[in-house]
Amino acid sequence: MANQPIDSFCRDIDPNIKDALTKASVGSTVAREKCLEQAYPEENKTLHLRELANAIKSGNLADNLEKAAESLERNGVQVLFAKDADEARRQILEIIRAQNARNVVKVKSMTTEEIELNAYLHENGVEAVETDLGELIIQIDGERPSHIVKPAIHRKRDDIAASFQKHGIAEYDEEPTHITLNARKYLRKKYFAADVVISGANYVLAKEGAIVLATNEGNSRFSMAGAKTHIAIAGFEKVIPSARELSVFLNLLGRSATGQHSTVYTDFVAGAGKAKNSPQKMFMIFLDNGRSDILAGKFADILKCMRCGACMNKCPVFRLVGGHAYRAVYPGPLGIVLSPLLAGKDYAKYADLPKACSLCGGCAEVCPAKIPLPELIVQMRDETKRRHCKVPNDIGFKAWALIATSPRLWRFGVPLNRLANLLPLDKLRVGPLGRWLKARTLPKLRGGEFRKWFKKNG
Amino acid sequence: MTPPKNRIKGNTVNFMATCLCDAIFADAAKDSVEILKKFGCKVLLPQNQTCCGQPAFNSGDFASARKVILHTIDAFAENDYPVVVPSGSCAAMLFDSALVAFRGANKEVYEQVEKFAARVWELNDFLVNAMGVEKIGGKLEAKIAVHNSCHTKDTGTPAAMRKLLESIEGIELLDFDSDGCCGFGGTFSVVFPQISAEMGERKVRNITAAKPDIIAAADTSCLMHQRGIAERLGLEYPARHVCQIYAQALRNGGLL
Repeated sequence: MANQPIDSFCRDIDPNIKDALTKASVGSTVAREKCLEQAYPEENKTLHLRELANAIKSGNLADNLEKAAESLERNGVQVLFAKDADEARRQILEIIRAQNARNVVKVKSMTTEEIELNAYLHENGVEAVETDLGELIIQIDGERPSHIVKPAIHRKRDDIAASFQKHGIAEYDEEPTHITLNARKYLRKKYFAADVVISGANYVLAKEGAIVLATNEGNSRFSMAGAKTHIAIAGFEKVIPSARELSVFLNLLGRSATGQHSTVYTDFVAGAGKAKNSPQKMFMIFLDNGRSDILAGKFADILKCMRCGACMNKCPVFRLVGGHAYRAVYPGPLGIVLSPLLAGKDYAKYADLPKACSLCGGCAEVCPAKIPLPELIVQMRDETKRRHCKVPNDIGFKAWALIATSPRLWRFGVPLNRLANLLPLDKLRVGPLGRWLKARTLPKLRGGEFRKWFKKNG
Repeated sequence: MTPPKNRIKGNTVNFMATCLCDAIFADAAKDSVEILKKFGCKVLLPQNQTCCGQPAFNSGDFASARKVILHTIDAFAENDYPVVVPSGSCAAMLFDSALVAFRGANKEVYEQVEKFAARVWELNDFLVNAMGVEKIGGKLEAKIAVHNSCHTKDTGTPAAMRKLLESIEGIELLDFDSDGCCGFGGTFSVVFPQISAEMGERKVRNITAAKPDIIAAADTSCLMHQRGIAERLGLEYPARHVCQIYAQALRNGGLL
């Protein structure tokens, strides 16, 4: 059977890119630790906050969502619900057309990646420009984000500069500050021309009827200043009860994501038309796209995710392959649980993802919402078996279970393993043992020796 | 992996050898038994024991894992004494993961699994936190790199192992970049051979850079993988189960 796609990806990836991925993710993990230690030197304070975040996210989502819709409408926001990606895309296009809008700017949003919005708008004659630098870099080259917080984590400055030149954004200049300046100049024009801004929402406050955007580049404010219409879209799990609970999350989000005590900008958007240079209309789309099913099942904990990316930064598999290896919008420990579930009837296409984990538990240590990721991951593997999905290189355990529940057979069989010492196994390259031996030696097999010894000496 | 609260203590113990010690690492098992006896335990070896069920559980074959867990519970049902395991990950399988495998099962079965979980200890954790052992004694001139396996996180094992190793005259514990999993992960190592081997190479290079005389762990499984990788890379990798180090120190001091 073929290899695991993610394993092959690791074999084939450019070593320089692999190196960059590892450095960037390890760097973020270290920054997170330092930042949290500085903020909360008291023992267990961080843990306490994470537990609090988990508890808040365990609240009644349906109630909060209802309240959020009411409060948002009270603030003049038109609230829409989209049952799937297709409906969300159509709603967005309809709004854009109703405004006779031509120019759209976007504030980084993984939810719009999930519904593959840019491609859909493009097909329908609407050009939406990404205004987050990382997103802009990958958009011009038609790529997908390779990390949910740092979408261009796999890119290097020289090829970014070359790309900018190729797409007529600026002359070749690989100096990082110049890359940023060139993007800034390019985007300024886009802000002024923008009719519509599309954003996600890090949090939606049910009581206040506001959305919260945590950003670092100021692009959300520039986007809002130019555009007359604001469309926000978020999975409905982004709703939290109120600004009071928000404090818990804002104390965790930036620190967990990038090792910042706070993101540079935290925008609160509570409706439109209240300021002169701001959108006059606002729409909020709550996306389901499979979330209701997830919420009702045994993987509901995954909806507590606040998309900080700490799990992938910490993940030894992600560090070697980056997000593109996962073939889905959400990579890393978060993605290997969420992506097959979001795929719905296409679950089988992503059934290999939950296998891409050594169960080291690193993700669970850093998750700010204290999601029990390794537990969800093994349960996903069980789910894959229940759905009878085939996964490359998988090993069956039925025969093993039979032997391991037959103590006589076990006591008879295990000592026979010594016979294998006589075989020239070292050259074996097929089957699970062959895959083991390709990169590792095998120790001498000594079945039965301990039990024999124990009879005499125990 | 979180051990249950109020675990069963006592100085008559069942030894669970684990499948790897049964099949390969006989010396680690022998020295584990010697150490338990040295520190006052009466050691029993129920003969029907096989494996903890971890390979199937980690692969997501919960149906097979549940069968093997129930068999293990049955194999140790002849008494209520603690079950001591010379492996952090096998112990965690039985005191933590088994409960995940049986979540949603009928109440009676779940309670049986829960009751068994409260008997299971990793050996170092047991010596220090159940038997109150403060010091191994003996002597061993060696620089040691300790590998704390992923499944001993949040358990008493890493601190217990460090305390016991530090109590031996002549041992120096080395500092090294210990971040991250070695890539064994049970069947992960053969399902993801490339990634597993790369993780392993990183780990053994970080460890060998500290120039240890011995690499110690409470899990022979991680060590088997690491030594296998190191040997293919042409690196010397003197890895030992930590009980082999305790036993050696005691033998050097004429105490065993």
